[in-house]
Amino acid sequence: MNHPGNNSNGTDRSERGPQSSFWARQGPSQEAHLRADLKAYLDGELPALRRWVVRRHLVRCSECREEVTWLKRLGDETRELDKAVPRPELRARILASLPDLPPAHMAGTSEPLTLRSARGGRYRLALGSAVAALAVVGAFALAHNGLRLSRQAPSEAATHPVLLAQGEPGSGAPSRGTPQPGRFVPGPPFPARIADAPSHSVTGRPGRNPENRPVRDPFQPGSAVDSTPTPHVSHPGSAPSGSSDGTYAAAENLFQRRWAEEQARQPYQNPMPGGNGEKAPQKLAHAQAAPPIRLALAVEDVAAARDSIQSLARQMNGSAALNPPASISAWQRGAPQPTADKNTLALRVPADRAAALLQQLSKMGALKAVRPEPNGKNGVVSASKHVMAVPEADRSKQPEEMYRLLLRGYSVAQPGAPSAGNPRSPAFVTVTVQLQPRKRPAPEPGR
Amino acid sequence: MAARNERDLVRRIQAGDRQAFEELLDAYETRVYRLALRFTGNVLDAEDLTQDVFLAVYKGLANFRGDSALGTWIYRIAMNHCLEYRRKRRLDCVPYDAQLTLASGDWREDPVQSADRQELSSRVEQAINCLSPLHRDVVVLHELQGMTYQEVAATLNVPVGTVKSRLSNAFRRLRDLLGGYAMEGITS
Repeated sequence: MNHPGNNSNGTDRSERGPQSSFWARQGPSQEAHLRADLKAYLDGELPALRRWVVRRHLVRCSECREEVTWLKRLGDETRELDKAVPRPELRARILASLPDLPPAHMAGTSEPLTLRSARGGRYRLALGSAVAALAVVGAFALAHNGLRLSRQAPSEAATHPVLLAQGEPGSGAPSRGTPQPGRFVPGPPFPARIADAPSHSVTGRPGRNPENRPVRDPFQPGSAVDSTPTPHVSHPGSAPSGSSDGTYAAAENLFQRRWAEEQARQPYQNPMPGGNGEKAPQKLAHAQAAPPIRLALAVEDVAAARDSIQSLARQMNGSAALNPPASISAWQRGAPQPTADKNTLALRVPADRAAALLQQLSKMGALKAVRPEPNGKNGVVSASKHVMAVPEADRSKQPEEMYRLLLRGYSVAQPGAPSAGNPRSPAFVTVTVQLQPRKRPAPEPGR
Repeated sequence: MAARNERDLVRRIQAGDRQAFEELLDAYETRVYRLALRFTGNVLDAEDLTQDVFLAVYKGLANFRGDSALGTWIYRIAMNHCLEYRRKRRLDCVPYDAQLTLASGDWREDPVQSADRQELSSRVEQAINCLSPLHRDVVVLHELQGMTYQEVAATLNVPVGTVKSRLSNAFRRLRDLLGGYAMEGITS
C-alpha cells in the first residue's frame, strides 16, 4: 500500500487532492507519525487531541481509511484465534502441586518479580565474562603488588590496608614469618583442594560460609547444621567424617534411602508415552494437527447421495453443510464465489465415528482419498491430486485396511476405537466429500 | 475482578484458603494457559508451564503487596516463565502447530465455518509466529489476551509509547507477511 507520505511511487504531492495542503502544513514526519497512530486510534488508546487529529486526517485520506479498515479486520480475526480451553485435568494437577503450607508461611521462597528479558542470557554471559576478566586482572595485580609490597618497608605498606595481606600480623592469615625490607617472602602455596584452603581470605573476611550462617540439611526441613566445623552425618558405608567425599557419600546415602521410601509409598510412573512398558502410540503429536480428510465419491445419483450423506452425518451426532466455498478463506468471504459447487459437502463427525462414516460412504460408490496441495498458488490449499484410490474389488475384501490408510495421520489407527486411551486424539474429524457422477462405460460399438 | 475483591481474595489465599485459590484459578487459568500455549505451541508444554506459573503465584502471594493489579502481577510471572521457556528453546520463528486452533474446536459447529476458521487461523498463526519476539509479545498480550496498552506496558516493563510503536510495527509486519492474501478481501 502506498501512503501519501511515501514518495517511493514517484507521485507529486500537489496531485493528491485536497489533503495535500494539509500535509504541506504538517510535513512528512508528522504524516508518518499519524500513520503510526492508526492502530492506537483503533484501540482507543490515543489522547483526545491526538484522536481528533487522526479522525480529521481519516476524513481526508482514503489510503489511511483503507489501512484502518484492514487493521480492524486483522485485529478482529486475531482476537478470534485464541479459543483454546485447558483440559480439566490441568486444574487438578495445579491444585495437587500446591505445597501444604499456606503462602503466608512461605515468605522469601518466591523469586523476585523482575521481568527477565529473552536476551538476558546473553547479558548474563557478558557480565560473567567481564567479572571473570576483572578477577584475572585483579589476581595478577594482587600477585604483582604483593610481591612488590613485601619488598617495601612496613610503614609504606601500611598505607595499603587491603594489600597488606599475606603474612602480616593482624591480617587473619597464618603468618609465615615477618617480612624484612628488601627481602622476598613467598606467600603460602596454593591449596591443593578447596577444602584445604584457609578459612579466611587475604582481606580478613571468611572465605567459606562468609556469614557463618548455619547450613540447612536439604533432606531435613527445619534442621540447621553449623558448618564450622562441618559435622558429618554418619551412615553405614560412608567415608570418614571431615572429608568432602564423606559428606557427599552421606548425602547420596540419604538420598537413596529417601528415594526408596518414596518408591515404597508411591511407585514412579513414567509420564512419557510408552514409558511404563506399553507400546508407544504413533504420531501422537500430530493427532490434533490433522487437516480435513478430503474424499471424492463417484455415485450414480448425486442428488440422492447428497441427501443420504447429510442424514448420515446427523445420525452420527455430526453435522453437514453443502457448498463450502472453493477457497475456504474468511478473507475471501466478502468476495463473490466464482463457482458454486453444490456437489461438495463438508461433514463433521465425532472421531470415534469417523471409521463408520467412511465405511458407509464406501458403500455408496467409488471412494477416493484426495490430498490437498499445501504449496498451491498463493498458499491457497487446493485439492486436485488423487493420491490413493482403492479399487472397487478390494473395497469389499480389505475395508479395514482402506480405512486405516485413509485415517493414517489422524491417530485413528483402528476403526471403531480411534481415540481409546489417547487423550490427544481429536474430538472430531472433518471430512469433505466431493460428489461426482459415476462414468458409465461406453457402449460397445455394434450393440 | 474488582480491587476490593482482589485484596480479599489474596488475603484468603495467604491464610491458606484453598477455595480462594480455586477462585483465582477460575479467573486466570484459561488466560495463562492460552498465553503459555502461544509461547510453547503444544498442549503438553503449555500445561506444564501453566502449572509452574500458578505454583510460583501461590508461593509469591506471600510477598504480594498489591502495588499492581493482581492480574498484571500474575501476567508478569507468566511472562517470566514464558520468556524463560523461549530462551531455552531459542525459537525465533515457531513452526505452526494446528493444535492451537484444533484444540479449541467444537465438533458440533458448522463445518464450513469451522473449515473457514481453520484456514484463516493457520494463516494468521503463521504470520504471528514469524514476528520478532518483541513484536509477538505485544500482539499476544494486547490482541489475544485483551490487555490495554497500560497493562501490556506494566507486564513487559516498558513505556506505553514503546507498546504503541511495537504494536503498530507488528501489524505492519503482519500485513507484509500475509501479503496479497490478506489484501484480497479488502480490495474486492
